Amino acid sequence: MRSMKFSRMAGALLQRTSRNNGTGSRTSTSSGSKLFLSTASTQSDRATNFWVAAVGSCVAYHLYDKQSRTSTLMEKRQDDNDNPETRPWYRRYPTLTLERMRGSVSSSTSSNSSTTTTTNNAAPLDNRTQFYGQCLQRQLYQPPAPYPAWVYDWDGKMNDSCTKEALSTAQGLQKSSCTGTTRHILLVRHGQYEEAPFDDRKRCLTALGRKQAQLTGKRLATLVQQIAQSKKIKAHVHAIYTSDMLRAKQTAWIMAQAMPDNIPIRDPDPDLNEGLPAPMIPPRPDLPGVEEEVDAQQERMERVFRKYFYRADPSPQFLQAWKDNAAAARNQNHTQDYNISPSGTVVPIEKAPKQQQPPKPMSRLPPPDHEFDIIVCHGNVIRYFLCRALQLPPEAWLRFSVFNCSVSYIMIKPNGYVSCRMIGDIGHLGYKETTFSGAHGLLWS
Amino acid sequence: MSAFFRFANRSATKALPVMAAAALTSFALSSYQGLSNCEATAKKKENESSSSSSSSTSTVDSTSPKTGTGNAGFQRDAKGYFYDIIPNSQIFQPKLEWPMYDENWDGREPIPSGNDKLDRRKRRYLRKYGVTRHIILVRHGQYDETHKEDEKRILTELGRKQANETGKRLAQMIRGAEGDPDSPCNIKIVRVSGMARAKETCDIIASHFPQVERAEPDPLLNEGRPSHHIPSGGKVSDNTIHKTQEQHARIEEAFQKNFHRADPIAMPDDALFLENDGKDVPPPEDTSPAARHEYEIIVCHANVIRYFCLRALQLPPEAWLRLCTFNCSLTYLTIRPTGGVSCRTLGDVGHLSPELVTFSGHHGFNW
Repeated sequence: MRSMKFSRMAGALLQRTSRNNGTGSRTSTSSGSKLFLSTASTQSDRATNFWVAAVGSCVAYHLYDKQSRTSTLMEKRQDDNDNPETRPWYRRYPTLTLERMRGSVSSSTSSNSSTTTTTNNAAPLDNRTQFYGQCLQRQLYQPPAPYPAWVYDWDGKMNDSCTKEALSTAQGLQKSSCTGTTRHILLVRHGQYEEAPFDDRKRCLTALGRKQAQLTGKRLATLVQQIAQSKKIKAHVHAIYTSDMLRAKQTAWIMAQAMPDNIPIRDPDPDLNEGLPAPMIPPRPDLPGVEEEVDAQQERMERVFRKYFYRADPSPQFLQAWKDNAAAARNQNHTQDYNISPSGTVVPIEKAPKQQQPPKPMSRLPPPDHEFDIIVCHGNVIRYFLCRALQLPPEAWLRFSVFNCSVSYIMIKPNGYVSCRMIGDIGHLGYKETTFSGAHGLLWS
Repeated sequence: MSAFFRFANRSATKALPVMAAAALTSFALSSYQGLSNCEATAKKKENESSSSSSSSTSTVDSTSPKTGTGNAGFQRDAKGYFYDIIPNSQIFQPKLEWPMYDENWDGREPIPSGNDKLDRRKRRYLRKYGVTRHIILVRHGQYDETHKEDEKRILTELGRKQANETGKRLAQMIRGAEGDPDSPCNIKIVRVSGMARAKETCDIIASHFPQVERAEPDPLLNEGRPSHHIPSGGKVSDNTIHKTQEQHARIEEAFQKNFHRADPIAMPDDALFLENDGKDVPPPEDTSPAARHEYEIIVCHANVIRYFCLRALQLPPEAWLRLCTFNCSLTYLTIRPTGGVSCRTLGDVGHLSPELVTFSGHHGFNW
């Protein structure tokens, strides 16, 4: 500690002064020594020397430290605040005024028609039409089909085997869900981090956050072991992805220490960074700059959702087998005994006798495969992913709360169906390691 | 007070406190806004079915958004099919169109008194000192599915192990510290459905906190089809329609009974006229966290849990089959004193080691 160092220095100075007693200490050049009594033989003199040294070391400490120690918290924040790049999102925009708050909050008896334009002290946005006073209409997610419909082609990868008609039969459903690669995505929120600095490069994990990451790493390692052990079913862990923010990278790095070495960690992806993914219903008018922040981040969040969430591509053999199967089924159901070929000629069908019929095409396919991906990112991003993957309104993302180092698990079947197996799983953490940023344990709301 | 500041810190903002936001909507604590939605709907339906004829002109068109008329639930006079798979009369219609949030979802929202300042002060007081309800829904363990009679469908050996681990985890969570028997374990009540597997799971769990009160088994919480599920795999059969009709009402009633905000606490009368905008309102006698948070554990079944979770968060309940709750998983919902709901975990099985994780007959995650 610096104070001890200076006390020692002062003490050493005192001793040197005492030693120089015989050779004339008054000629010593140090300014502090002039305060010391040159003959420190009596006890009271020694006591005086002690107190002079103590006071001197304190003064020296304060004088020294004022210059070179890092600035106080407020000064540190001021430095970060001045730089627009390191300023946090809620400081980038003008403060929320009461008029803006009144304009953007709905009353409990909301009117049936959406109201237009509210007073805005900041730079006016282009389209201010509100959705029942809850959020901007243009920021509201418009699903391709109204809730609660399921959009079959939600990822743009629909093929013949997973159209609505194909999945309407029990047989079609069973065949398409059990053949091909099932993708399992584990979303891990980072551990508890230092929230005081505004610069992201300084927002590292706390000691508790590191502990949480270790426990989560152990938990995922046991899951990975169980996955790798399955002999009848092919399963493997594909990769670990992480966002580009320090807390997520640290969490991923600590977790990877516990996991097998053969799982690659991909380069940090800045698209997975934290932000406001969608407006919030019910709204939070106490938070300033929500609309601007959603404008800035919404497109990126949707893009990163599409980047990581999609069904696996079916193998060409599967698609061919599906077509063969469908053709065979059509032939069996056909009552007539001829076909018209594409060139227009009539071709009679010869029904092969039963013992010569070839085996069904679907039975020749390789067994199903399971691929696990681990994504270490942030609370808001995870909640947005969950809402979007389950085709729930993304404006409801804030109704979930995912704790630090919690695991959320989404499974995407080869036919495009999505199943969520856990949200915010913290069972692997003890009670002492359960935090939601600054809130410890569970007795808070 | 410290809990409030932790909440404010969690928002990581130095802007106005969260309660100022809530304070803008004005409410009073003198009376409620009336019956819960389910009771009102049930009464209305009874009146309609007894007096009116079967023909009705109101049609719910699935393509145009619905505005805020009527109550939440099945609209029995709706005609037609939703995308040709499910009859519109069995699609859950919210009170306000999706994704709106109904502040009066449990029928306990106070009616505004007209005095904005007073209402804000009362709401702020309630938010700070009211009781938060923590509801943990536990799915039963793995059970023997070979028999038809419910009394014989009891837990397997693995199921009993799962229940034991879950009991330990719940005791740890709620006691607040590992191995500290003196910590308060303020579980208000443990509820259970009427089915054998849930009752057996509940017995094993409750053995870990023997001093907690246990409610009688409630058949309203039994397993069933709470609503249709989308995607449904084609047009639903008549059998499914019939089953859903009879079981939805029961499960919705169970939801209305168990999910609501806690009873409000009244602000002291002489605090109404303080000048300092309510900052000097004296707190109630007991402001410890244990007094302001109460736990309730409900041991029931997967379909019921998933439906409850989606209804509590005001999300379309037809999505219930998109969620998947493992055996002995924990689903944890928080209901704040001012009515806000937050889902903290859904299907949490982190307390079970991987060989104990099952979904009925499926083991582990590779399926």
